[in-house]
Amino acid sequence: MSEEKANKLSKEEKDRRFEAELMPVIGPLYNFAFRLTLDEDDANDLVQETYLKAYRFFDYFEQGTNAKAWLFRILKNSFINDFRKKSKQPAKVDYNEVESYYNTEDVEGEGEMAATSDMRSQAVQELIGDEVASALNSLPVDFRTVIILCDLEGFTYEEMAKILDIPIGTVRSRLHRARNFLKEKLEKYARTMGYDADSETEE
Amino acid sequence: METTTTELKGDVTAASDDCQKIISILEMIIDDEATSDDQTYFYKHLEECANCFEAHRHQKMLKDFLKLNVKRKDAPASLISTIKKIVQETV
Ligand SMILES: [Zn+2]
Repeated sequence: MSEEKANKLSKEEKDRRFEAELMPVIGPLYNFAFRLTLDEDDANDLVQETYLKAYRFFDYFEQGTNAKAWLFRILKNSFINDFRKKSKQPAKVDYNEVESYYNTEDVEGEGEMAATSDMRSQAVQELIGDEVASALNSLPVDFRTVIILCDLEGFTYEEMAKILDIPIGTVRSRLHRARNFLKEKLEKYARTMGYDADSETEE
Repeated sequence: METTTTELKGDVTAASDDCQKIISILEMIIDDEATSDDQTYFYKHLEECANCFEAHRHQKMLKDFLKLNVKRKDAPASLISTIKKIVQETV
């Protein structure tokens, strides 16, 4: 391993590294773009723009560092600067509702939907997937973002703070509020799926 | 917390202070962001507190549920080839 500066790379070598290190992230990156924009064409544009920026600044990218976090950060900045203004946002969420839920967390319904818990068919699974997606999409974009970064992509709080340019404390409070909102929305589906019973979901 | 209300609340006051700390680190535990000291403290408390045990189970359930049920949107093959092509043509 030579200590040669990255900007002395030949185009061929640069392209090879770019593909090897950054292209494998395109799956999660596209998913993130789609969850932000809620539109396939916008997601396409956003991801393409992200990769072109990444290529332009690839000399500044330190090989072996966190390519995924770097790309997510570029994409999120592109989204805020170029897309957020023009893209249509989902319906506004009533924050009072979110807050008041937090104070009544322990309200527990009886398992009235327990009877359907054995309907673990593909169709039910798909329906649940759609419901979860629409619950997620109904969140304000800042809340949606932290759920995706944390629960789907497994970024640490510190990585999320860097990607989003916010303090770790803000990461935590956004996650907390986003989860309380989702809990309320998803409670009945979780019950339907029998998650309320003792489900062993050990990794 | 004030100690003057101890008469009224009995042992519950002490327990709920503990529980409050547990709830405040609950999500860090779930997200694997808690220190090992906090983890020890947390799981020890869970052994003796049904409420916090339930809260933990519930919170973990939500995370697992999301992970399992939020469908990933796959990047179109055309996008991948377009990006590679543009990059190769970029000087
Ligand atoms: Zn407790």
